[in-house]
Amino acid sequence: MGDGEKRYRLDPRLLDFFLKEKKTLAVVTVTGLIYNTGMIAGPWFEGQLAQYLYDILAGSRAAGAIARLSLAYVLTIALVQFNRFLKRLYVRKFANNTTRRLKEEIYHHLMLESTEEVRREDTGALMTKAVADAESLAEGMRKFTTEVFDTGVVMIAYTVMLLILDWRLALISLVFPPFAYFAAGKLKGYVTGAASASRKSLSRLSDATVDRVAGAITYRIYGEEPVREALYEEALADYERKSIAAGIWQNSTEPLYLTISMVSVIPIFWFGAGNVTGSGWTSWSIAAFSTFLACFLKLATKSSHAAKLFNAVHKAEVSWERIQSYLGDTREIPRLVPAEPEELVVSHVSLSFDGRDVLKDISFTAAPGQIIGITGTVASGKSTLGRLFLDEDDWTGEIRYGGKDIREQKERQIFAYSGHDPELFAGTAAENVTFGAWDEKRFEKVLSDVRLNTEVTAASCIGEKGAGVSGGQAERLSLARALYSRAPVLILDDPFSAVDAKTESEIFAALRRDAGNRIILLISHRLAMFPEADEVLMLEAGRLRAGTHDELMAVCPPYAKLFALQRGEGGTEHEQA
Amino acid sequence: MNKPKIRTILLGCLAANPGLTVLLAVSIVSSIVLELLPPLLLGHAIDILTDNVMLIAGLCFGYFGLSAAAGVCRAAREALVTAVGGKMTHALRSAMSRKLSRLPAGEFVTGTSGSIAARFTSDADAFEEMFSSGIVSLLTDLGTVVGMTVVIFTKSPGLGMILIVVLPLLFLFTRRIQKAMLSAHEQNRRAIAKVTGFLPETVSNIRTIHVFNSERFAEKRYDKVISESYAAIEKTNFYDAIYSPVILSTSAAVIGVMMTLAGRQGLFLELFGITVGTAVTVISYVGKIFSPLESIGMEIQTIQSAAAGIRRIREYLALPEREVPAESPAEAAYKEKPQMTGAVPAGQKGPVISLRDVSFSYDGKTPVLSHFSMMVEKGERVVLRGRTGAGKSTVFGLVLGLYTPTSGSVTLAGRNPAALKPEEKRQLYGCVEQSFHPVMGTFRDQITLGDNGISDSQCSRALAVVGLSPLAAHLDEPFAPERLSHGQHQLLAIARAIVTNPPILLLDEITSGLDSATEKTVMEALRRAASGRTVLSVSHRALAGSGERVVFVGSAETEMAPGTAVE
Repeated sequence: MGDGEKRYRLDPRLLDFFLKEKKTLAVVTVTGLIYNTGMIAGPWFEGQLAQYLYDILAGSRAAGAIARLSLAYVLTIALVQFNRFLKRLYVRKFANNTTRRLKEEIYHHLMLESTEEVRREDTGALMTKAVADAESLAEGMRKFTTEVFDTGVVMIAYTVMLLILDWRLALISLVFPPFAYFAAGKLKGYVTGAASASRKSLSRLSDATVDRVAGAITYRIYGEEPVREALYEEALADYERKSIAAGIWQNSTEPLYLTISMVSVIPIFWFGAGNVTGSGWTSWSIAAFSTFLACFLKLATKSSHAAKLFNAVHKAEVSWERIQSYLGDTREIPRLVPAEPEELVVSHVSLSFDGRDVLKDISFTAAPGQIIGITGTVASGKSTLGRLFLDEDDWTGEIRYGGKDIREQKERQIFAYSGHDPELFAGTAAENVTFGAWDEKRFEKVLSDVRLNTEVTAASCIGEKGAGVSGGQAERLSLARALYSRAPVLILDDPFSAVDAKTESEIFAALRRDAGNRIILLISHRLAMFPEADEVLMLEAGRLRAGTHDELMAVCPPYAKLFALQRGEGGTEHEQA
Repeated sequence: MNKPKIRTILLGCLAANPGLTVLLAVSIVSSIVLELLPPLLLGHAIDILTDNVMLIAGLCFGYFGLSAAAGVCRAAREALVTAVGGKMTHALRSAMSRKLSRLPAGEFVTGTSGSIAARFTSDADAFEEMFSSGIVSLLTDLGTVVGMTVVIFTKSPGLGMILIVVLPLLFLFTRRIQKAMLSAHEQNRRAIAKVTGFLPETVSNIRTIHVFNSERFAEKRYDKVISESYAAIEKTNFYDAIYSPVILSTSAAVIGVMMTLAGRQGLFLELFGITVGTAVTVISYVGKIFSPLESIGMEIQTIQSAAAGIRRIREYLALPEREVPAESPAEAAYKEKPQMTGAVPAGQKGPVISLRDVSFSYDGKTPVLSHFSMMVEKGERVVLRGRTGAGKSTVFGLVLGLYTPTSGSVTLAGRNPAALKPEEKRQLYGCVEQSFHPVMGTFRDQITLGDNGISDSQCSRALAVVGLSPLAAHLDEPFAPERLSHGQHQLLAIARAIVTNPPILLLDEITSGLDSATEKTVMEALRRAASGRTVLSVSHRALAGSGERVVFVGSAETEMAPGTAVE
């Protein structure tokens, strides 16, 4: 298997993961060697026991001898098994430690990836799968380690025993097991092919499952449940077919390999009997005959497990290939220092996606303590403008904070952001707002600023994806998070979309009162609060009109129209509420 | 409809595949028998050899033949087990999918979809694993143990008696280990579920993590979650490691005692007196009788770890199902439990949508609506108004038949909405949900939801109405949600609602996330397309347009008469 050797060569970086568990593996090595060489003690003692019984029955040995031999046998096996216990314990410990280390490294890598990279189509899903891969890689490493001893060492021990007993017969009987290896190598392609088809089908099935469950309400509302059930059934049938094929290949090959190896028992019986009756190559006692046969049978069983070793290694290899790029990221997570209030200057910033201009030559200035209202027509790039400061997109022009390009002061925490998606974590409200930097007074203050103090406490539990709080509460928690941070510039994208007008004006008043020297960029398509902003920016097809509210009302008809339209509606609502 | 039971589903599956089932049973029995024969033959050969006679060729080939037959039989068994296991898991998943359609809408609240999906994936996988590497091998191993005990008894009654004492003790030991392992396994499963949810959350919240420099905090939280799983696995490792060494040491002790006694004279000769050949047979049996015990331990472990999954599937299948009321006339629905039958004449006069004196509560305690009434006449455009939590979405849920009122009646086109047949729904109404739910599949599937009864020209028309005509050329392409804007998703949701040209349109919070201009465009498009279509809409704030009537859904706090219509 020259080609096999090439494929199973250990990647040095993977070797690192073995080396990081040196102590654990040292215990595994010592106990594994004792246990596996000790494995030949069983057949040897059992042969001797039969021989002693033969001698006693023939009257050539005293009955007491077999008692001593039995005691030695039991003690030896107990010692061997004790080593086996230690080996099993430590090899599992090794896998557990490795799984944990792999998972931590993958997560660390995720933490170091940029937002845009993580948000890219596949990355998120791939990282999620990587955690599953970490488990199967560690499992593969464990099986590999186990089999090195339980198959490798023990097979050598048995082979040596056979050679000692009768080297000619040993060579004859060892002819057939390699055929089993050969067959295993030939069939391996089918086994792995069927397995990968089955895995692909399983992944389709689990996508279909998530789709069916997550869309349950939609499908019910539309009366399409029977249709989706039928589609799900198709995915199920496909998986059934492929998993059965894979299972048959994987499970039924091992007994076949064993059968091939077993051809050797014919010469063992024939020539072994010759040895015992005195007509063979060497002279054997009954003990030798039964030890030889027992050793060979165990060897044959072990060699049929060798396929398992290849499977485990192959699986681990596939997982390794998928996750290796996420591992070994030694970069430190930066610790940002909150910046002081300073002037923010945006000059001549443009941004285009796929050749389409989204923002064109945007310039404006914001001084500490100012609240800047940003609005615009549909798809005018409001949200994109807010995200400029997060260093996610590739824009041209210059943004300066305190006179320095923001791209050259990434070690400073300048901006806090609250977007359309409140991005809540499963955990307490306090965790969501403070990220572990707990300051009770500040937290209470912020909570009351966003008018959540009567609805939420620090210990309030938030479920996955913000389950357990309403859309309006989630929005305000996200706002509270931005206020709680020490960043001097707050970018609030549509923070009032799910709160009523009264709450909106209360929160705005609190921002005004408590923001101090912070700059607040308030991006919104609701203009109710804009008359109170220090400056208003109106975006229209990527271009900017800047001025106070009153100025824009006078010189920018689209703004005036938008404002008038909303005031009419807002008024009606206030009367009703 | 009776709630499905796991047992019924599985037995039904076996009955549907009688050939496979019988073959599986045959292969199990014959692999047990074939396991017993070779040691007997070996003992016979040794006895011949002790008399210093050369073996006959038949014996040599016989030994190989039996071993080979045992191997082939095992291979057949494994193949059959996989096939039957695959079919059973399929049947189980099918039943679970059908159950999904019968769950009440309340089961699908945000955040639970992951845990329901886990019933379908990891728990059903656990079942398959339990069947193929648990139950069938357990049966085979138990059969082998019993068979060997019987043979040993006939060969050496004394050893048989020792085994009768030792086997139950080892069994008790096995049970003890299993129980300890089960609790550790449960702990691990819970921990793994948490880890599984953690990564997608991190990915979707990555912007916040970066902006707030909370990477370290996130890592700490992640470490906490994976540590739970680590601790649980450490616990199982100990039991896992200790089990089979104890069993194998015991096996050596039994052989030692037997051989010691076999060498004695007197009473022991009666009980333990054996030939050398028998000794070899019996040693080989004792080695083999304990190794099934060892695998029984592993199989029970497999079953134990799957048991939790199976229990969850059972709980899932036993969840209360929604009552699909028989078609009932509107009047009958006034009664508390609408179970009356009787069809409503088609084209009946009266409101298109009506809620009469409706009270409703999700939990049976906090009333969300009390004695709420409203009507929507044909061709009307009605907007529901009220503060957050006032019950606007609840009114929608009731009109859609997702919930049934505690008291009072709800009708849609003169029918009880909860009693509508699936295929009738899209003919009667279209509904734009709060947020667009992307569907696995092509662009077309986003509009049709996989319904083949909807033609491409219907799709194109719907797309034209919402101003997404350019997309009509891409119907066959796989849908990638991130390639469209939030507004375009909403438009697509509207296309989905109107593609079947239903007479009624229900718009849930159509304004959220859309600016007034887009909303206006959409409303204009709807108006163009839907002359004579009746529209009921939930709107948090004003809805641009003309001719709509506003209905206020009041909460107790405002003390306004619920259901007051403000024109």
